[in-house]
Amino acid sequence: MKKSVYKSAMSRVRTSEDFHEETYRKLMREIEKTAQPNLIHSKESLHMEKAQKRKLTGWTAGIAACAVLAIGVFAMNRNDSGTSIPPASAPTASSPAASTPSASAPAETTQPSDVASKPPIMGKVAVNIDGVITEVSEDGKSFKVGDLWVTVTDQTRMGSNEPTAAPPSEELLQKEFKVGNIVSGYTSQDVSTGKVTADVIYNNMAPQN
Amino acid sequence: MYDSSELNESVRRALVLYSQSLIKVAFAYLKNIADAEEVAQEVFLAYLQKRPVFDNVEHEKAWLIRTAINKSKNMLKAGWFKSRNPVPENLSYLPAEENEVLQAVLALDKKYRIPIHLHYYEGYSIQEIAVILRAKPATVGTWLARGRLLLKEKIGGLEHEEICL
Repeated sequence: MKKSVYKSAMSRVRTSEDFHEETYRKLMREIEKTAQPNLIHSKESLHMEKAQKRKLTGWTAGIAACAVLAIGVFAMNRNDSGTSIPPASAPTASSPAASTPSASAPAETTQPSDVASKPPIMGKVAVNIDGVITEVSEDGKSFKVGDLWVTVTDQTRMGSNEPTAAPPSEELLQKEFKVGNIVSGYTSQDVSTGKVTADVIYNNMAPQN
Repeated sequence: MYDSSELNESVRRALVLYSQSLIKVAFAYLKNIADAEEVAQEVFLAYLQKRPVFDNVEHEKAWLIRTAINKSKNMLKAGWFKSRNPVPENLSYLPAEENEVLQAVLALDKKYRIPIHLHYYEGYSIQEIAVILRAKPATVGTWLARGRLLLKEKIGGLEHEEICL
């Protein structure tokens, strides 16, 4: 086959004599350049690792502190809800109630069994006396409302001193306690004993027919 | 995968074996030896950086030529390249016939020029050229045929050469 003229021509095209050396030098410079960043990168990656570790430690400590705080707040809330008692309620001159007497608020609240370490919080509260008289003592000074015997003494105040209260009248506040009368008042004594002295009697009226 | 010493050795070997091939294919593209040498250097740099793994020597050479063609294309697209007025390569030192043929080939459109170069200078077949250029063999055959026709019209062509199929 006839030698290609084109191939011959192209083979004779002159190139740089130091092409190999120049290229080799360029490649070595590139190799050195890539080796340096590796060193730098390894230092940088070490710094990064340390920074990441510090960050992780910080976050862990923060989350742990939050958890401890949350548990503490939760525990305190539980304690508070276990020991709280309702405040002393002002006595009310209630309208004629149902036949059964009501002793609405206990004098003291007992602690739940799970909070045994703290002593019970004591407080004096007013307990309403509200109902229909079922029995009257011989002297007429005591009467029974439901299961509670109520005694009226000289210290018992008859009628209400409240600013908006109606003035006492014979119709609303009879002098004599009779069976069947509707009575209302309050006492600050412990109703669980079954016998109390009335602090105030607001009403003692005959039943409405 | 190479380690650095193996890589250096393979790059050094490729530099010895293929530097002329790469310069010449880039020259066929760019028509300027200085630019062609720069492209060839960039190809070896890419070899060093990308660290390709080859099945065999032919695969290696084809990869290098393909890279040289791509980098030559990139250079042609570059704005600074388009705006300059390069001095025509002085090929007067070549024999007259060879000078004429070379000038005629370099005057062809590059889609004819490159297959002709790969066929007549590197000795690749149409199938192999199709793989390198990522074209269909039929397309490469058409390019070759048209290129030869244009050369024939210009200088009487390369009709004495055989085509490897």
